[in-house]
Amino acid sequence: MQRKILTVIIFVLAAAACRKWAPDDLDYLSPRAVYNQKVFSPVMGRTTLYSQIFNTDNSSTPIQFKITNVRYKTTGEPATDLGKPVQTLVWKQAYTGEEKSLAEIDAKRVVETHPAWEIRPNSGEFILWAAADNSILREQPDSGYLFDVEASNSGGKNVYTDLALMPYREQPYAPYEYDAVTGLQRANYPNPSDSSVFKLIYNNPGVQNVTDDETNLGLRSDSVRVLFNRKGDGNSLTFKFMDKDSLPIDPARFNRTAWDTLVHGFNRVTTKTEVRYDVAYPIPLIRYRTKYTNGDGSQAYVKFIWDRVGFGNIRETCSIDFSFSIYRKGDWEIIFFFQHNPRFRDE
Amino acid sequence: MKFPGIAGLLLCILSCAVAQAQTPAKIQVRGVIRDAETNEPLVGVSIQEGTPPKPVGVTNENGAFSVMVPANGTLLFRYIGFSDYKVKINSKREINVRLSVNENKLNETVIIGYQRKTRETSTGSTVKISGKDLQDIPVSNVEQLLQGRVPGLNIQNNTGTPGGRGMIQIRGLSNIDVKGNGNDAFLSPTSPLYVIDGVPIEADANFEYGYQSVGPGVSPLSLIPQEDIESMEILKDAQATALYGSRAAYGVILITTRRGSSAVPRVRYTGNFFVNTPPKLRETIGGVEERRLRINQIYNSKNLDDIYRISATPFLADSLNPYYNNSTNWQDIFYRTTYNQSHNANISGGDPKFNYKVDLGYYHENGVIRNTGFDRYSINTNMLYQPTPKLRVLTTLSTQVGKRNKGDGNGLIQNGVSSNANASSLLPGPSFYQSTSSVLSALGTENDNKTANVRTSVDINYQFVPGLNAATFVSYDYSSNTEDRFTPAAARNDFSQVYAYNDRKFTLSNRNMLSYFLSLKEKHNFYIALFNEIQNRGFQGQLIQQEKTPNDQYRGPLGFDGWASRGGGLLDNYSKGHIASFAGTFSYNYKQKYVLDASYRLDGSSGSGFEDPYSKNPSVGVRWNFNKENIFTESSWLTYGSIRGSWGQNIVPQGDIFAIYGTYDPRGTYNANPRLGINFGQLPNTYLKPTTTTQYNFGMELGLFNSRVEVLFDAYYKTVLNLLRNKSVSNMTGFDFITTNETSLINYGYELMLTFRPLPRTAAVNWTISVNGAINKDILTSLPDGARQLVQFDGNTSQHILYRVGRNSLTNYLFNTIGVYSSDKDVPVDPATGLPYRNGGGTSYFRAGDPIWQDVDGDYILTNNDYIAAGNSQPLVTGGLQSSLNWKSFSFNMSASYTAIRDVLNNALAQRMQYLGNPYDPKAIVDFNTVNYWKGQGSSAAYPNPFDYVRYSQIRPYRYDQTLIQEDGSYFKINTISLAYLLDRTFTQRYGLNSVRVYLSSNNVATFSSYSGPNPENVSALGRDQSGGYPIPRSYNVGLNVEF
Repeated sequence: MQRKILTVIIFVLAAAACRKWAPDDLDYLSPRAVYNQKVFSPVMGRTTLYSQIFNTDNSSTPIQFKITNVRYKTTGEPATDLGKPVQTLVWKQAYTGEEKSLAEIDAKRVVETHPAWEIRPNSGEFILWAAADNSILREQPDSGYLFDVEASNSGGKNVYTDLALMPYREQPYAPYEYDAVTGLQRANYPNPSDSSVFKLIYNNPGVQNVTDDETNLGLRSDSVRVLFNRKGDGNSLTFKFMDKDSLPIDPARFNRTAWDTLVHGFNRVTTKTEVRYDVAYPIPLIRYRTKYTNGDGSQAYVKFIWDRVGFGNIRETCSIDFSFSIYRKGDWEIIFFFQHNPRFRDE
Repeated sequence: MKFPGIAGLLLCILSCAVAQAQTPAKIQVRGVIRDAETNEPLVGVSIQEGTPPKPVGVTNENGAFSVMVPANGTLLFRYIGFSDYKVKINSKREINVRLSVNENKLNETVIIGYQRKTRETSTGSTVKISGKDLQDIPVSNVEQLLQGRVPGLNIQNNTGTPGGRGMIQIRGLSNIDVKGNGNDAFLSPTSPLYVIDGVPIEADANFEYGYQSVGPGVSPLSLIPQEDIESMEILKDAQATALYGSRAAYGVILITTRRGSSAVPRVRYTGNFFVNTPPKLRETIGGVEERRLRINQIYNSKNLDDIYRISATPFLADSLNPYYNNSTNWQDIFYRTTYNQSHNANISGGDPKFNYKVDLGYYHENGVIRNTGFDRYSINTNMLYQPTPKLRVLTTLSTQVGKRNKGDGNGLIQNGVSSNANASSLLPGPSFYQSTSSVLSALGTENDNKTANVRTSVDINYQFVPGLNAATFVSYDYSSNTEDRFTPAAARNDFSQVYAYNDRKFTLSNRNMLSYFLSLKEKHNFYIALFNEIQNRGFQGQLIQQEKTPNDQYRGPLGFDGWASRGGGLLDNYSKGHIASFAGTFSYNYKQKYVLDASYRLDGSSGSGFEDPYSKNPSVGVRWNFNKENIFTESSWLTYGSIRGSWGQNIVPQGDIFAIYGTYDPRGTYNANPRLGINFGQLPNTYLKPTTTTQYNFGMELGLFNSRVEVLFDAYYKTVLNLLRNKSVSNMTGFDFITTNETSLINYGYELMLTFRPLPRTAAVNWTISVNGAINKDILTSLPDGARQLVQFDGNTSQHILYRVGRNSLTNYLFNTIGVYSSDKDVPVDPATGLPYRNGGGTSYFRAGDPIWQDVDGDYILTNNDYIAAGNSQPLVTGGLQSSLNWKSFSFNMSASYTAIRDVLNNALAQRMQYLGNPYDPKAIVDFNTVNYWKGQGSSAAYPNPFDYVRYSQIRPYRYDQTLIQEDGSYFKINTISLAYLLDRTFTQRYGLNSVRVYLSSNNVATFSSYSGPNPENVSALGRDQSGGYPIPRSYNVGLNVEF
């Protein structure tokens, strides 16, 4: 009897101790969490990250993201292009601009396999990897792809439908004087109603304090064209200068130029006609301000300087400068083609 | 054998049976019986022998006895108010016994629902604390002595401010409303309802506005002298509190004051003289060391502009200037050791027909922060008049005045003091010739803050026929708070300020009750009562603020004009409330073995929406005293044992008339007609309900081995429904927000209290040790609009609060600090962009020495998406330990408490490390050598580099919103120790003194904790250790009790 009573007591105690009667602790996924951007038109041939495009509306992180239901926009047929693996360089350590050799730079990045159009699994950000080119993805003017994104955590699942990817054709360098969609050289049409009159667009550097050797007037920026020329598949960058007769100008004429810190390149070779560096591509390697870049680090910045004695025996510092990027690896030449010769001589 | 107890029991029964088989031989046994505590002989103790026990004698006037009993028998000593004591004779001829006061918890008288019961017949969960346990330690607020004594009563004495009060919760959180932000974030207090001799008291009064509270801020509980307290009872579950229902949802604490009981008038004097010492202050780096440290830090930046800036910063550069050539100990200017006293005279007398008590009290405490303190003057009286057994009249009248000096702080926190105490040691301290205005403000602000309180009640009881009673009870509680503050011109940028605040508050309550008690053949006992209750409350505060008096001597009267007035007038905290309740209660027990209680209440409140003002609150409880089952009556190991269960519902009206009816504002005149317009701030909610708690309770009480081991266990599940919360509404409604009842949470937990009396009752030393503990878990169960999550963003320190359904209600929402980057290579790099992990959208990249904040969403950018649900600011486990030791005339008592598994945010540490991040700012440099901070590339450390001031504003390594400063706030604290000696009565009686007792005691003796800050208890209810908090002093006391 005693034991019976004790058993009853123990049982009631245990029963009282067990039950929780409470809702589960689940993550929160806001129904109002959204993508700020739904149409993506990256340029192929360079790694593009769409950063901070998902507004979580204070949902619990991490959220798991997944691309689903990829299809061609034109036909609606399923497509597998976006998931195709590509071999691409990824960074393992931070590029600082202080690296002393190509090897040191290359040690900081490795080749990995990634889907051409990748979604970051926890942030919902998209990456188009540099190695994805028009052999993998359809480029504009094709209408591209539609896809859905599934975002989920233990609090539920949101599906974002009909996000669009419409990549532009590869533009190996910037500024790029060819049209992003057609690939034809861009032009200005002074008279909008007449397409037969036009003026082609060329890249021009900044020109400071340079005198036109013929006219004694200031040299205008559009008197100098910058030409990009890819000669091979190596790892070099060459600067050349040509006068109006397409004859090479000796780089030594640009006597005040800081050749060693002009670009983040190594093994500089200077000849009568050109200056050549071994460089790592792309240029600039990342969007990060270094002594080789412009103010926000978005493009490499070069400046060629010389000085001469001007009128009144005043020393003048003349320069041309240029911001550029090169995305495709190769043996590139950048040619500064003077339509009017600059004056190097003293007055 | 599952239980060793059963084996022992069987052996016992067996041996008894064997013993009875023998023929008894009678012997004479003699002895003396004394009171174990006072060592006084006890007269008239009944001595019984045999089974069932038969009286064989009583003790004489010297406590001695002599009886003839069988040599192998068992003697039982029984005396009213004392525990039974059994002893086997075993041929002993002399037996000296020390009876101890009945400590069997089962026979305690408890008051539940205005009705006295023995604990045996109560189905609720209650704990009773004797007033004796609350003496010997002088405190301004007796509540703090309850800490650690009651399982499930969580008290955190988180402020040392004299006359203030800490945080108190019964069975966990009952509100999740947080006002203010940053260090001032204030969790709305949910103090239990205090009922002092039947008069309900609002203990949360004067604290409803958070840290920005106005008025003197004296808690009503600080006005009760501890010497006047006979007992306190803590009612925890819904059945126990059912009949206090209209405001009992957070639990009820009953305070019974002393009554007269002696035919000879008695005068008791208690005097305490105590020293309060501030806790160990921070070690700061002073003088030339400080200057060198700052200059080195700037040189290490290798930034020429910064180095030039030294020359433009006089306190760094001008080391020969006496103004900057100091090593001032700022803390010493504000903190001090104080000498304090309290005196209390308690005069009582009378017989059952007429008795009275007058208690006169004076308490004086100077705060350990200069210019703060608390004084209390009180007279509490009661009188009982019972001319016939049918009529009984009890009246009480209590008046108290509390005076509180707050300096220039607001009572709970002293920001002025803390910012000054954080000043650089290079700056000169106050002197005869000069002083900074903030120092003058802290020390020169004059306060005259008073709380005056009158509490009176009449309780009339008439018995028509035996069993049928009618009773009426009327009480009136009135208090007036005034705050007069004068800030001299020098302390306030050349403009003096006069600040005068006053408010009035009253509570009138009336209860009429009809009860009937019927006992059928002493077996079936019925009790039925019906009563109604009416309560009327009101409050209004006013304020005058004027500036620019002609001089510091002229302080008013001042004219009213826009030039000098800084606003005031009637404050918008007006409130008026009515409660009307109708209730019935029914109790039944069978031979006090099976007990059933049921009650039902209808509570109408003006704090509820007028569409549905009445809430219905039923409760039911059952109890089974299984020790009364036949099978246990002979048991030697089971003294008592019972299990009980209850369910019930209680409310607390929370709404105000503005939330229910909306507000009309006067809007001037139009065409000479006065206009009234709707205030579009708050949308009225006519369905507003009071906060409701529903509680299941399961309890077990066991007394083993003649009450030498007592066990009290409770398990509960409490739902707090209808919590009020403001909800923003769509702007197309025209209003900003509405107050709704959509928030709710649950608390569940277990409470255990074990009492041991390890030494036998005959021992010269009487030792009782009691351990208790409670686990409480709270879970948020719903939020407005069915939302699963709500984040209360904090714009000040960014220490956001996460409310998420299904987890603990108040969650810290912080960045997760995993460690410190040992070298630059450890910073993760975005594989796509090649950029290191960075802070925000800018270019503040992390480097070696910066904290590693977990990148939860993996985007290599630290954003709000990287906050995690990091910790619980509420403690999970609380409890305490008490030991009471008596030996002859000495007694030694100790009380300790503990809190475990609680996350505390060490904002004070973060703040002082932040000061290192700006060498040009003249702030104190606290000794940082105890902090394991990053010291250079490759070094591993727990704390980031505080010295990188150039990048400091971009990275903010010592920001508040990170788990780096979230620490475990568990602690074990020895609350009080006291040693008392009772002088020999024969000696003192020669001088006409009935008894003289002297004692030494100490309060807040020691805290043991792994917490890196000064005191893990001295943190806000949200677990934030703010540097402006009032430190908790340690006190040493010499006291004296004299009874004439």
